Amino acid sequence: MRSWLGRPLLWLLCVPLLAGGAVACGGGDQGDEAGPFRIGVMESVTGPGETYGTVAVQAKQMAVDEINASGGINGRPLELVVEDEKCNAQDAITAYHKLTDVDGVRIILGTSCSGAMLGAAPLAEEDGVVLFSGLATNPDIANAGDFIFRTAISDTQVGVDTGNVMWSDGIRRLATITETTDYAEGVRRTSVAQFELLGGEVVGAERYASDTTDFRTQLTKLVEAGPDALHVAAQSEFAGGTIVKQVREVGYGGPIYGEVVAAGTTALEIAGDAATGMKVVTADIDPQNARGAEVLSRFLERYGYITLPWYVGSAYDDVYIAAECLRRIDDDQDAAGFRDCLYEITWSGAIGEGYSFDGNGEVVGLTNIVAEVLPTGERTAENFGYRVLGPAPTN
Amino acid sequence: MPLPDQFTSRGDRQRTMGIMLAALLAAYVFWKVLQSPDQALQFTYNGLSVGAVYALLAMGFTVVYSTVWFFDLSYGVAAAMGAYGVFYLRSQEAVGGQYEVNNPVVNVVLGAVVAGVVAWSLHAWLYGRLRGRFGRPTLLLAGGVLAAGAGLYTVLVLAFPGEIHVLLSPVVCAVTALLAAWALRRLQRALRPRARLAPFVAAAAPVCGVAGLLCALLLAGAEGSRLYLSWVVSCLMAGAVGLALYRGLYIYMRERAHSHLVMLVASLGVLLAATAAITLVFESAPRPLPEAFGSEPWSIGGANIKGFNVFAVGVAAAGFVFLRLLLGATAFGKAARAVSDDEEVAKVVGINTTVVIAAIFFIGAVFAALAGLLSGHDTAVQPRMGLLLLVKGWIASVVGGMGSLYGAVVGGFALGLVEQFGIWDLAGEWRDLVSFVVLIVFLSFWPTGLVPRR
Repeated sequence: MRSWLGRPLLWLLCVPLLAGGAVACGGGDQGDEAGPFRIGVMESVTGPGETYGTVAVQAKQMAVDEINASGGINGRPLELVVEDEKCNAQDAITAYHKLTDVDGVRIILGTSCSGAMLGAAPLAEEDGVVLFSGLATNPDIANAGDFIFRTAISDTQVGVDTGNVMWSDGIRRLATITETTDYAEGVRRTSVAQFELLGGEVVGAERYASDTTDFRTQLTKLVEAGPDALHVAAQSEFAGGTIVKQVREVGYGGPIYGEVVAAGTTALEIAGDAATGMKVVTADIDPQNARGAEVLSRFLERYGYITLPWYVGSAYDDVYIAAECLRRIDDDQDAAGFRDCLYEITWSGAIGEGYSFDGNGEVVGLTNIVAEVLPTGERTAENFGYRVLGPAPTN
Repeated sequence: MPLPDQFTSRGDRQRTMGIMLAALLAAYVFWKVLQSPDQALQFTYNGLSVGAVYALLAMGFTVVYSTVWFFDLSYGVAAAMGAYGVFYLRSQEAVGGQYEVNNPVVNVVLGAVVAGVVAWSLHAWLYGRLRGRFGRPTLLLAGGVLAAGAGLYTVLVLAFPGEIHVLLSPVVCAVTALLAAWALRRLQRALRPRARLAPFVAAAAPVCGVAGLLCALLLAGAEGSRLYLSWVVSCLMAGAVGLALYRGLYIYMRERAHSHLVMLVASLGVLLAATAAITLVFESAPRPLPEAFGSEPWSIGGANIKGFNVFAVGVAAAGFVFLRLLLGATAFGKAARAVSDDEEVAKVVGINTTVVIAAIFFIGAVFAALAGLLSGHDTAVQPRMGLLLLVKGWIASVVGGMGSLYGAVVGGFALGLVEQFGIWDLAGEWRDLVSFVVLIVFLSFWPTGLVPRR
């Protein structure tokens, strides 16, 4: 029975392992001699954060091209040196060394991911290099150092705002379901803390590991506890969308609250009509803000798509803030001067008006908004599937 | 293979403990049900939904295990393939095509696997019988052409999943025509056993041809059928891979290693390699499959269940009936039972044991793939699902009784329900722990399971 096919077949089974490939990322271009101001950019061009990292790089490049088209800064053009931080601390440190040692920049705009930010921040602080992020939201970044700034709103604020929104909507009994990751646990902790401070009661709390796909048992228990509302804190859009879908499957009809992940494009696609009416607390561009609307329409025109509008605006504003500070100090190597400029500056841009930075380098003067998810028929690429109800209430 | 005596009758003390444990558990569940009947009903529906998947897995597992008495870990590969096969073929429709994947390497590899499996199956099944009549070169040529054709056709179908309904319509046409011919032939034999063949062929050929063509035309115009055709293709691919593993791993290892332990480790290696390959092609995050029918929940008696879950329970029941008939009422079933009792003796009395076991592996893989894709549609697919489903299927068959088909069904649904009710007072993350506790309890107190194999 030992046939002519015996061994080759075994070999064939090994071939699937060869599938897959690697994509390298590009670096910056060379500039003119003594010409441009050069600043670094670190975003997650690849890796888990590639959707928002790519958007951030594109928004920044758009801002730079606009500045250069209108004459540059003090007559000199602005140039970005882009490195990939791949959404993790290790690669962020590699990218940081490349930018500071090889390219010699002292001002870096980035990162996209909190983990990457927390990895590179100690080095930047020690070297006296400015690290200025538009996207990283982890609360720990507030205390990362004197040279560390961000226009991203801290997760602490998201939690406080979520607690306030639920309370002012008349929710008194809350059930929570949370992914066991730093980000999601942080959102849950701060939301619940604010909600309980106001007098609310948590009647059920469930946690799940990131690779869970069947949430129905846990959701059945939560629903049976008789909550006024369900709070979903997810790290991945898949889990956020699936939870919303499955909680409707086990017969829950009440309100659902979430944050930016649960209202992401993928999450809404998965949840379908189950997500209709869900309220999310997130940073978003105020529809009344003319500057914001203009930036978004230019982005759409230039790149042919638009997603994560707040990230676009935040990354875009960061470049203009940097340009303003460079205009004042007129030296791209003077990180200390740049830092002092950021402490003093008050800015009005795409993501808000009259915002500034506090002693921790945290942005003040920006608020999260409350949005309501639209029925599937009304969701479009322009409205991202939800309707902004207004700024989050303060209690 | 009877279990050693010490397991079945080791002292009354253990049995008493087991019975007390069961009584305690029953009292606890009864108390909880009285406390909140609504939640109990919802848990029951949830449990039946996952139980159907576990039952299918346990049935496939049992069929393979009770034939070769080998603990096949690579069985999990088939479950993951069933689910990921559907995702692969329909990725342009899942989540708005965001994660579309179609890799030429994967297509060619699977095409090669199919070609190899077809060639080997023809060789093992027909070569010995036909050698005398046609001679070796003719048979090799015909087999080679058939195998290469099947492989190329597979690559074509995999490369253009958007046109799967058009690409598959010729096959459906042929299958329909053959089925019609078979049915007519049965009818003719029953009505007029002595009639001559030629007039029958003349009368039946146009009927069968028209029926086949009609089916093919209907299918080629029905875009809604793509998802369900993907199910079929996915199950067949999983079956082909199951056969390839049988030939490439099982036979190969058995010729070399005379220990089941070596084969166990080898099949574990295959499972891990397949998981890694799936992660490479599809990334590690869970992904949803496109919506099948019945995703709207129905409210029955105050609790909710999806139409799709009811369908899954139906598939499990149909699978059970199919296996019961196949193993109990056909010549193939007799052969399979003979192999199960003693492979050497079966070979001596003239059963082609290789083909029988190959068919069993194929059926087992198809059941696993069905379970995988039902679970994938119900929740989502993720690379580790092969291992998770394998473990659940195995626990279900231990609970039901290793090697017993009734036990597999009972065990599958029982495990599904126990998992739900077990975490009534625990946090939900403990669900998998509950299944393992059940496994340990059963291995300790009822190693023969709820419905022992006779």
